[in-house]
Amino acid sequence: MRFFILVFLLFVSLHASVMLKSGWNMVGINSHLDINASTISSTDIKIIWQYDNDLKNWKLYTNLNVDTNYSTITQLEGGDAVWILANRDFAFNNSASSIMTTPLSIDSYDILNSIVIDVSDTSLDLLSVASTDTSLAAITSDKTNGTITLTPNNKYGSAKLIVTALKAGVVESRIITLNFSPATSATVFTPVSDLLWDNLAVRKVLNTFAFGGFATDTQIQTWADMSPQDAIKEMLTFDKQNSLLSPADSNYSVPQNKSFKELQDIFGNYNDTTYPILAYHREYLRYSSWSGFQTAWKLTSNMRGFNPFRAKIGFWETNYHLALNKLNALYNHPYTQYYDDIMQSLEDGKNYEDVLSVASLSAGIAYQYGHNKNRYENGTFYGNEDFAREYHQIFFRIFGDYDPDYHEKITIKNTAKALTDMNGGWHDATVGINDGVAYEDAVLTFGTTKHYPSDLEIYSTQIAGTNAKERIEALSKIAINQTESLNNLPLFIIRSLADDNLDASKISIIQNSWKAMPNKNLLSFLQEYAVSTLFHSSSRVKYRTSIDRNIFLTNQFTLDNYESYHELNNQLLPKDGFEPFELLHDVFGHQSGKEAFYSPDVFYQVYNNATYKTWLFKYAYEEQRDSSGNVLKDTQNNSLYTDWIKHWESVIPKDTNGHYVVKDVASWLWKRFINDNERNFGTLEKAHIYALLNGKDLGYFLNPDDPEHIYTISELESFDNSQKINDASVAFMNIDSSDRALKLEANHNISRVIAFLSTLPYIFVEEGR
Amino acid sequence: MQRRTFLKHSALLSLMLALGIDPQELEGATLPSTFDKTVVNIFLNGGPDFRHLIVPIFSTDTSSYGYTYWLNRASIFGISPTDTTAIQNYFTSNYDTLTLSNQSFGILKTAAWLKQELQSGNVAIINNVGGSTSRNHVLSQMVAQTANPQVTQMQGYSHSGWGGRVAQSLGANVISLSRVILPFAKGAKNGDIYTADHTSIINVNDSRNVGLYHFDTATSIANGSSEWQWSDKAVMSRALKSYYATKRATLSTDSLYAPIFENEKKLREFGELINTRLSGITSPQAFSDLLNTYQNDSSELDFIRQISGLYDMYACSDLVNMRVASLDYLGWDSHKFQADSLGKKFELLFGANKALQSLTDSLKANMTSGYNSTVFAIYGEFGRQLKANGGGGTDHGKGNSVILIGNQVEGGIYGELFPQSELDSTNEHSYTTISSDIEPRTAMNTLFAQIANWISSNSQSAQTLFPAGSFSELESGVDFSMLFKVNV
Repeated sequence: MRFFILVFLLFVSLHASVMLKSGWNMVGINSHLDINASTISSTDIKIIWQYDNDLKNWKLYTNLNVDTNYSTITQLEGGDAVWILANRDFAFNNSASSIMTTPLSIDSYDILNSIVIDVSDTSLDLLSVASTDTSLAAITSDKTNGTITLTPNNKYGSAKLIVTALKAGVVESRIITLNFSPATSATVFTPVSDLLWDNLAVRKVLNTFAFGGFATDTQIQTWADMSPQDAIKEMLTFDKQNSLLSPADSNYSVPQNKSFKELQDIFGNYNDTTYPILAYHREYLRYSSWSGFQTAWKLTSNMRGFNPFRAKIGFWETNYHLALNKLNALYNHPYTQYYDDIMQSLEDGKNYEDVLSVASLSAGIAYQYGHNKNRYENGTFYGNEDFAREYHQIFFRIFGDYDPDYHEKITIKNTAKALTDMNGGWHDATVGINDGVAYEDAVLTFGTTKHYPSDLEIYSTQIAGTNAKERIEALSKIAINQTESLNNLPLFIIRSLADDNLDASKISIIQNSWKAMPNKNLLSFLQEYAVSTLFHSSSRVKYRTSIDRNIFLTNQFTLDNYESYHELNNQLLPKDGFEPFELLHDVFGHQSGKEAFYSPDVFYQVYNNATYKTWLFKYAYEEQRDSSGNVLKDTQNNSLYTDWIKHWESVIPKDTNGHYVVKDVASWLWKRFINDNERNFGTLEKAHIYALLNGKDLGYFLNPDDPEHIYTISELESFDNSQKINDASVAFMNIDSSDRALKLEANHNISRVIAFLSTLPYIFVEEGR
Repeated sequence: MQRRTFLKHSALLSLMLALGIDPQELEGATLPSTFDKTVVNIFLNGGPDFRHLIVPIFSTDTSSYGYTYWLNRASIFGISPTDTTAIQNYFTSNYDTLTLSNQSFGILKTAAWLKQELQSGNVAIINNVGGSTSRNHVLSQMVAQTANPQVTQMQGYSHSGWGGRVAQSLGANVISLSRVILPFAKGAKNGDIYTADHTSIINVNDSRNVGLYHFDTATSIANGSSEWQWSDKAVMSRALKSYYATKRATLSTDSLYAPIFENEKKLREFGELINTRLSGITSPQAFSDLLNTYQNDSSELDFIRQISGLYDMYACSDLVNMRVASLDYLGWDSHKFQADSLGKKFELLFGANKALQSLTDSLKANMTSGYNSTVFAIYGEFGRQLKANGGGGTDHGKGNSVILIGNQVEGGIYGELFPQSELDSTNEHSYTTISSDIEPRTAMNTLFAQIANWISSNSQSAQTLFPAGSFSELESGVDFSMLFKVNV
């Protein structure tokens, strides 16, 4: 069976001229044109390519002095279509039409057969069809029947077609972009094909779900070579350690299989000699410290040996979904317990409703909302209905649309009664306990005497229980299956973690996939989604939050645990002014990705950090400090430094000749920090980065007499400048030099590039394939 | 940067000329002397309990509103409902009495500036105003700020706001001072209210530091220094300025990345203008004093920062074309500890020599026309339930009051301050019903539409800015035609 698609090709005659942009343009030719030095201005045009469909080969015209085996274009005729490399924006005469930019998508193409495009009903007489894409194995046109037949090489892909037709006696050409993918009737997550599961895809999963992760380049390629279903089971796990995603640092290990309570006890122990925490930092990591958990979390999110997927989901749960705001005067004990209990529940593989029950019954949530004061006495309820509302709205995403009046008067009121006699509270400073400072109980006890005594109707179900724990655990099993929760909760999960651009089709698949799970398990859901066609679709857009972006940057920038233990990079984390667990929207969660993306203030912070505080990205040396943290000085009052130096050679590969070549280093850095298959790594980006890796900014590099000149793309592609940029690209870097000064210089240049990358638009948003 | 060097920037010169600004005026602490009508929107996030600020006078008459209110709310103040002596003492100690528009009430003593402004006829209290039919914070905030009763939570970040639409219609900008840009501030893309447009927003979080860092290469070279060659600041600022300038010129306006370039452009252009203007202007001491007083209170600090920034934006209003300002004040969701938490917030907002008095006094002293042209609109997403919740606070309700303040406001009480129907046990909105709350009688949009018409001096302006049919609901007996002294 062939799949027929009727296409209306909109041809707009442009008999006078068409505006060409600097760079590559696809252009249809209107009428005969001689191609030679007198008709083609070298100021305007550098190269013209034409595909000869009869010869099945390319033809070339260029005013550059190059040797080539290609035939030379000497003339073009009406109906021809060509690629033109323009030196600048200009009006090109004799062209017939401009480029059709709207892609034509065929997402129900049957892989077993060819694609047939029917253009017979367009009042056009089809003359020819050509394509420059290698994604098509064959392309033919039937002029009599007005059809185009395509045979793709792969299941997924796109192709640009140059379609030439006769319309009202005028020959016109049109470029159409065709996207194609196999037919599918799937209503749930469909695994991405092996063809699209590659190094790029693996990195996108890591960037979205694991702050970039710490997997080696080799491991990433190993996963890319596996089936997506097998790979994802290794990549995303809730264990405290994941040795593939985050290999141990053999020189600087981390404690194994520990909760955050235990980690604080270890890192905050002044007598510990196993882990090289700086002495003066230990007090901030103690369980008795006000911010011990926050400090420990930030430290471990950046360390090899801990599981960055677990860190990402723990951060997401406590900062976005089951939001617990440290700014609500919460002590360290209940916050640590909250995080540990949620993550242990996920690690244990509990059903998601049971995880939500654990969170709902926590001391931290009770203190935040105040229902630890709720009680039922003498037939009267005393307390607030704050969490009684947000349990449904925030945790389960049930807003009450099912029956607003019932929701207000029955569901919320009775949930408030269910949340009674939950006991825990604050304790004054006591010598010998908690380092002698005040604290709050980390767990609640659930009483019966002040708990509501009878069954409570919620969602038309009688919820029984002798205390709040029994009651909430029973209620969660009902709530998770409410229609609103089934529809909204999975959307919230995917939207807040991975895709800000959900359309009706995606929404349906996400909801169906969640509903199809007999037991709701977050890990299984995320694993299936992370290898699905939805996650790897080109329409996926995830705006990064400030914290997400900064942890990602820090993780890519940090090379070993020495840097983490010595907190050489910790100032990168809060540099947009946002701290993990100090929530911008209180119980409604932290800064969203869109808020960060659209915020001029965030951009201001990012830009000025890269320009005014470039030292944030340097860390080419470490100051010596005493046990109190004071910098040690020599007799001349100069700061003393350790002999530590960053070893980029441990991760950046050499070329086959054993050199670190600028253009290779630039590509490696672009992949590590941007990871877009170099889609946005164009002439301009390369020119700037090559110059920075040579120790100068582009303006200074190209013309020291005019360092502030703003170069257009055309200027960069001029002969002189392109030569200089090319020279810069093939220069060698002293990344592994034994000469400390040379190595520091190379590190410095790399740091400047990372600062530059941290400010580019592409770092603010993660796109799908 | 030296002024001479700054003025060399041709882009800035062009911008200044386009704005009708004499470059000479940028320095020398020149403050603008003329202002157009301006709306300052102060959104009290969380659902403010205005029934805590303005209360009925306590009465021992058990059939009176004054008795019923205090009976049902005494627990908020830590008083037994049956201890009428304690209630009377609490009222006398904490509230002043005032009569306005023939209605007598108590007002928190700590809101002394508001009381003074009420007595001066500069404050309109519009009662029984409702927006969202839901008690959901997020959705109700969306309804209040977008002025679209049909908005859904999922439309969230992408929807336009009524302040942004008003500013757009005036060809002006919204100055966004809140930590994140509120829906209120966003314009409508091509007139589609469901699609936000950020181009008319100028976001100012720290008014004294808004520009992108720029290394002065020309001066470094002129001084014979080599710093322009080796310093990170020089290299990185030239590299990024150059990159963004070139890339922006080739970028499609519908590119996914276009907003980042818009941010860069605004910060580069307006940032330098603002920094240069403010370099010669001292921020009023009152703001520094407030920052010291509230240094341990994050929400309060954030609000003072915004108020201080707002003063600075008045000083730059000709540069930034400000007609609408957007502020928020967080932490009004008073389920517990209401007396303490709201007491502090109402005091900072309305107290003597606190935030609004410090701002308005400074404007009166230095930019009188700015003060005279401004209306402050103060409200939240919904009100609270009539009764205390038994946990020291109040839970989410529906109707609430909106407070307008300004020289051009016709002061008074609009709508029944304490509806007698709330005492009627047969009424849905009474103290005896399960979810007792204030009956919404006037649609938020009816009031917002009036504000939009006032600022645009066009009685038909609202017709194009608000969804049809959303701004007609008005409490019986209330007349908005005289809400502003200079009417349209």
